[in-house]
Amino acid sequence: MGSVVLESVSKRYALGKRRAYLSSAWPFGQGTPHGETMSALDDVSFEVKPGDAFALIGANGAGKSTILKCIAGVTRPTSGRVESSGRLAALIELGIGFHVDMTGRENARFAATIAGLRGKDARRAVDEAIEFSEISRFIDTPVKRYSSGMYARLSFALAACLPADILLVDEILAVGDLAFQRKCFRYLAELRNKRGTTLICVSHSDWIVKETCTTGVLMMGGRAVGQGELTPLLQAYHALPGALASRGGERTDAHHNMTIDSVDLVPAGTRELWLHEAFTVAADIWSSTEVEKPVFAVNVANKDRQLIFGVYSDREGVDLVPGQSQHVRVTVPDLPLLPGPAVLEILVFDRAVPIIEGRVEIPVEVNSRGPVDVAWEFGLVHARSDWSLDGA
Amino acid sequence: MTADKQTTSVHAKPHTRMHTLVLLRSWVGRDFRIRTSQTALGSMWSLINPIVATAGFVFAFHNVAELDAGVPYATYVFPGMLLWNLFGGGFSRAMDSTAGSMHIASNANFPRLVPPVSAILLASIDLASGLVLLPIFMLAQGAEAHLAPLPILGALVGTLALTIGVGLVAAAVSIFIRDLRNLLPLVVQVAFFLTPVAYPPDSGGGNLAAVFRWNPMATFVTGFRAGFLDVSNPDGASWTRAIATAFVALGVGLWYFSRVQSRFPDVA
Repeated sequence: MGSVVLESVSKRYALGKRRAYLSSAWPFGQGTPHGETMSALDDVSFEVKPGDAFALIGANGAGKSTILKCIAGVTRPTSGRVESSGRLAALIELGIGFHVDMTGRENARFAATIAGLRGKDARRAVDEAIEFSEISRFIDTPVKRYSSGMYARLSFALAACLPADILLVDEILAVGDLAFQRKCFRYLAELRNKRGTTLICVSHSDWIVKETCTTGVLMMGGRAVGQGELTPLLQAYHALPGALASRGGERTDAHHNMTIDSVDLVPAGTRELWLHEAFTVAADIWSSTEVEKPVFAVNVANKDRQLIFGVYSDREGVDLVPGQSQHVRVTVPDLPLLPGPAVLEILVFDRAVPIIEGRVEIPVEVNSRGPVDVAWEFGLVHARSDWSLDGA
Repeated sequence: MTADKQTTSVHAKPHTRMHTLVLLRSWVGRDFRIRTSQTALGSMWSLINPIVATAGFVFAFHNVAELDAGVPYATYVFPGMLLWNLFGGGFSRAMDSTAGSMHIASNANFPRLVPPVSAILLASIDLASGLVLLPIFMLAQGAEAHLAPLPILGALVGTLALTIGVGLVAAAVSIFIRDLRNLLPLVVQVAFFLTPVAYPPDSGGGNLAAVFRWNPMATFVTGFRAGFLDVSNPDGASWTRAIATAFVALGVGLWYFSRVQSRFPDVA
């Protein structure tokens, strides 16, 4: 119970705006619209075992949400097979099936009916969901009067409290404030431990994925490029050149004016950096003669992918020479980043034409040799400070 | 069937009949609540509508066109119009409810058949509540009651089957081709005048008789009326044709809708 199998699943969508979907109205055949299409999923196969906490990782447009929709049966794959065993609950969009004129309780009751509950079971599940949502004061008010937070809370509470063997969740971060999110995470973990519920979720935030999931699949441009343990997948994801990882950023011409031929930390293979110590990035880059002002840059972002600082060759007065290959080496003598996971983003671009030509991410772990205790640290960086005490 | 042993493809997973029926019932209740929410008169509106429409026909056909039906005119028009409203009203509401329930189509456990069918069932509740007024019309106008359960039953079952069949096709096709949302109400309007609701079936002459033969609603309306009043009932051949047409429509509607409903989310 609670397993999901995808076998060479592909999904194509029509591009552009149509006046009418005549071929879809025709009852025979596949009903796929003719004309220009894009492939959202391309030959995707994977298996989720009962009780797994499974993450779909990848950039925007990689196909994560389409997979969830195929599993949920919302949309049908163009080819391939999706099999699942057990009851499904999906939180793909907030407030699915809510009618704005009905009260929270009426909507909750109806959701319970859809989930196949009746009588006492339905009442118990609805009460449980209302209690979980913490909005019992407003439960007999039409949901159109709800704040977006109340709406999100009720949606999540219903998805979580109605019986399910497989729970599909898209972007858990969308749910409520921080305290409620914490509660959701705890509850998801509990569902998995106590009831053996299978969890399949999508999130763009590393820490959410790490907190909830143990295995997953890495999606890239509609294809599954990796599957298994979560940590190596996340590392692979961050190492993917950004231009390729995201369909949105995919270049139409294969022609690049600048490339990063190789890049690594020094010594090679280092993925551990130290607070208030130096780190060095070395790269071989190439730029064509067309590039006016070649720039090599290293951005440093924290675990939430928030940019902390960046070093740019042109700003430091280093002039790279266009039209040749060059070896670049840059050292940051004092890394102020707090201990924890971080990402180095290495970029090459032409300052005259602000288009990123090459981009590589390297996930790293920042550690501290000193007395910096993460639990006591707030903010984004750690500043050195001198202290003195007077008196007595 | 136990859920824990079988391994089914979600797309082939049939919603169990029981589940669909339970949902149908709650959806009708839900539609009813939504329709009456924030209205002062609430369900009274399902009585006010046919009364006002009947008054309009009395004015147009009886007072202006001086039509004679052999039975007091308002009493004559009222039952036929209730039945027509089941068809016309149910038809357009089925279309609207399918288009308006796409948000819930994303719920994996929800059969998409439920909204249009329950819209039509809700229209039959309107009919039932309207029938309460019929004795009042008959008493007020001194019309003689002439009860015959069989034509009433036949007309109700036939109209329901026809409306569900035609309504499902219309609801599904109009998701893909939105022109139909504008076109089909016009077709229903024309069909209304090609059905003897506001006038007796024998008042039109030969051409109209041919139309009535192929219009099952003509038989159902005339027959429904004959179940309450002393007017002529269509012959057996008409009944057979009409009922057969209605059930063929029902079959085609169910088949077509279930065939194409999985494409709704990609288009709607």
